[in-house]
Amino acid sequence: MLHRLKQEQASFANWIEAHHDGLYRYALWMTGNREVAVDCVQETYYQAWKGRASLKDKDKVFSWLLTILRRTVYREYEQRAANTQFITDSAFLTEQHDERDCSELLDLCKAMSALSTMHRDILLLHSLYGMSYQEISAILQIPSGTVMSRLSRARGALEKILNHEDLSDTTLQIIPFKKSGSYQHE
Amino acid sequence: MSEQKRLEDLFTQPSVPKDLQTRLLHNLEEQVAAERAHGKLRHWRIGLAFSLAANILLAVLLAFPRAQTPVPSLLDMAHAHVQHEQELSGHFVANDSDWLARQGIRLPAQSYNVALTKKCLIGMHQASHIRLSTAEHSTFDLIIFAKSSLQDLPQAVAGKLGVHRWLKFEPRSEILIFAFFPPQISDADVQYLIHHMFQDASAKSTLL
Repeated sequence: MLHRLKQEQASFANWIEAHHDGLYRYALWMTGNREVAVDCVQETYYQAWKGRASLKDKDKVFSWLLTILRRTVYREYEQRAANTQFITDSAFLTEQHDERDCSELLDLCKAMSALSTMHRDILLLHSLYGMSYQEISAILQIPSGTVMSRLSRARGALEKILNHEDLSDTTLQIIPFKKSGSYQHE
Repeated sequence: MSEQKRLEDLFTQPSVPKDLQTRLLHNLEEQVAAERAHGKLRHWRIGLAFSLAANILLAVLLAFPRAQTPVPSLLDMAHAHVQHEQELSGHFVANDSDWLARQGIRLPAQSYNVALTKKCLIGMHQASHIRLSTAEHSTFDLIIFAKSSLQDLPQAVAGKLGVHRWLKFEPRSEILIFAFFPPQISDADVQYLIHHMFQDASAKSTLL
């Protein structure tokens, strides 16, 4: 039993190394807050270890972790529903970024914050992780056709914001989670 | 670069906290250690539960000694054998009249018939079974043991078992007889009968 525990720990350590950055970026884009994103990723791995018996296919570890993360992020929303969070340069930027990157990154950050949670989520699954419609369909438990249409609407909304919104403010009040239809640009 | 490609590139831009992986690995170690400790504690608790249960059981057994299942006595076994063979009749010993004569056993008067002669094994002891019937169709059974095969000789000489009266006889040094008979036959009649049958005290019984 001890041997099995050590083996499982070793596998988990590999999964931490392989996926922690991708999970963190999703949590960051979803919550708009560095510390909250770290908490969500830690909680995700904590819950994953506790529930590791539920992982049936080790080839789908990332999907499994992402499912736990999404649940954690949405639970975070329920607990902080009344809170809004301010996003600043430091949340997204490091000294490695050049001026153009900084500007584009912040614009994207502000635009994403203006999207509904649903659109934010699907955009990240597609554009951050490069998931196919089928993969997104499996994660979100919606038909592939719905994935296509929702993704299309999300892109359209983001483009509209990026092209038309005045994003010159360096700080923006971020409401981490917004219901679909609650923002005029959707 | 396409807009989509640029978007994908931007999404991957935010840096990951440098210590995040270390923190996650540390959390994992703590979880594993907690699980190991819990496992040990659980094993310890299970072990303790078993130990307590065993000790409680032992205490109960010592406090309440197990009731001894009585070992059937020779008398009980002989009586059970008589009951078992009560429907049996016949001469299962070849030339039993000669056999009885060779034993120095005098058959009773004509008012008694030999209804059964048989050799048998009672409680790992070889024995002879003789049943006599009276003119009134009463029967009484004699179970004859060789004393040499008996370790604990019964002390009692008379009694009642079930519907039978019984008497113990040792008419010869080498044999022990249990006589089982219905209450309508008196002890005195049976004693007289046995005395008559085995009156030749010097004869050696080779009934078995």
